[in-house]
Amino acid sequence: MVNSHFLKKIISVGEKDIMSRLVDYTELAYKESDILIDMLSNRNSLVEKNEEIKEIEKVGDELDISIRQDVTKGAISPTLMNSMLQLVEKCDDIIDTGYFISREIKRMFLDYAGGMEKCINLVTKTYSTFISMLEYNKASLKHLNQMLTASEDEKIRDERIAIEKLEEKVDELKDDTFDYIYRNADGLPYLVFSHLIDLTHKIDDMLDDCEDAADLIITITRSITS
Amino acid sequence: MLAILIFSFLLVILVAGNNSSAVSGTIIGSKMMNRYTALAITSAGYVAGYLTEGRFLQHAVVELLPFRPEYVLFAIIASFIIFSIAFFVKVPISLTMALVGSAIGLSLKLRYTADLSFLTEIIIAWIAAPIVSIVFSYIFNDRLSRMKHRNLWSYAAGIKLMLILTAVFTAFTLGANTIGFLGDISGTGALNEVLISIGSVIGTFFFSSGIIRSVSQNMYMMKYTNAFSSQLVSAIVVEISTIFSIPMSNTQTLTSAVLGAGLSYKAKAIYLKPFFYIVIMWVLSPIIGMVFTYMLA
Repeated sequence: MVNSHFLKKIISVGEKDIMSRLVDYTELAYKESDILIDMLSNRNSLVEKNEEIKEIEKVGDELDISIRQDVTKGAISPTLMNSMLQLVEKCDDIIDTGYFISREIKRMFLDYAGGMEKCINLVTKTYSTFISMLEYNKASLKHLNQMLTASEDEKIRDERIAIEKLEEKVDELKDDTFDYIYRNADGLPYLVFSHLIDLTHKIDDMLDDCEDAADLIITITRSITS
Repeated sequence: MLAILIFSFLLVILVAGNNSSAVSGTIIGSKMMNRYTALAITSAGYVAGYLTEGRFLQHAVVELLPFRPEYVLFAIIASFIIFSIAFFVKVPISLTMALVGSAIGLSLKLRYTADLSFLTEIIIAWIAAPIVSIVFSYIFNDRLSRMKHRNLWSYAAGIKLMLILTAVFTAFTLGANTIGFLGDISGTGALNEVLISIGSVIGTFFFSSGIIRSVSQNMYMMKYTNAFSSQLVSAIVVEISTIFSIPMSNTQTLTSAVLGAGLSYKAKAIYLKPFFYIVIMWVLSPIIGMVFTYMLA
């Protein structure tokens, strides 16, 4: 019926619709993290795995354009529009960072294999830390997913706290990794040193983006209820 | 008198257009409704308010303008000129206040000793309305934003629906009070009612775009909860004034309610300059109306 459709349109909450769509990002980022963990642990079929991540990044970009259009056209308070767009950007950044990491791993093992082999023990040990960091990222993405689908203030707050704790753990791992790399920097080829430092920063960035996204969700939901 | 009806008709067009963004700014801005649907609802609210409660302001017309039509015309023309200039140079002059000022100017010019008790009532109401709006909007918004929600999205859907209903109520009270006051000055009768109603619709649709006022901007940029609480409190204050036959400025009550809602937050990032500017115009509007009509008559 026209009237029920009209009423449905009036009371539809644009902010909720956007949040539901952002769940796709957390699922894509989760899948991406799984592939990255696989790349770091096996180092087989790096080209194919990189291609898989490239596809994920492409889907993420299309999602970014589509959700941005929905934000600007949808029933969203003008005061929240900026926060919504920032939230979309943060979610997309997680995927983009994952793609950067995948290219970096592929490049180092395929185009600088000799250099990597020289210090394979140190690389393997550092990579195992990266795997732990990415496992935390996966856990953090699960919490972000829960935040996006939750409808209770308390649940949203709890999930945000969980993400914050995970981010702190990753921060500690990041510092330990830097210490380890610097302690063993003598004799480490510059490209390998730079690669490991970059990756440490980038994986930490993924968690930071996750935390920033969680903060933005809190800002948006608080804005709606206060 | 036809001239009074024509000028009232023109004033109604300006008033309806001028207030439309404050009435439906939030629902258009947050895209709950498209512009034309929101304006259709707004104009329906104006017409409904005018036709059902507009006659409540007849007492004010009798008390303030007990003159022959040719003299009343001076007050209407003076208000029209003042409001037209203010409308196009985007100065927030209150038509209601300018019109009451014009009535006082006319009384002074004609050396008519007006019934001061009603005038006193109006002045007390004009002083009390912003205070009441600030206080009640503060309390209401504070309670509303402290509420615990089982489901925040159900709350969001509910408050969006309430915002639409409040916009209709605001349009209704404006139609009853300001447009009703103008309608009663123009006279009673079917032709008057038809013309004033048409003026409300024309003003809403053709004179509402491009009007940027401090209040409407505030409404547009407000969050759902404080937009709802300030608009509801403002509309209730105007409705009570209508029942007591007091011409009340919608801008005055809405601006105060917006301020009250803003003050209820812990972090009070309120830009007070537009508020003070509007307060100055509250004081100046009746004085300008009075002086201009005195000179014109």
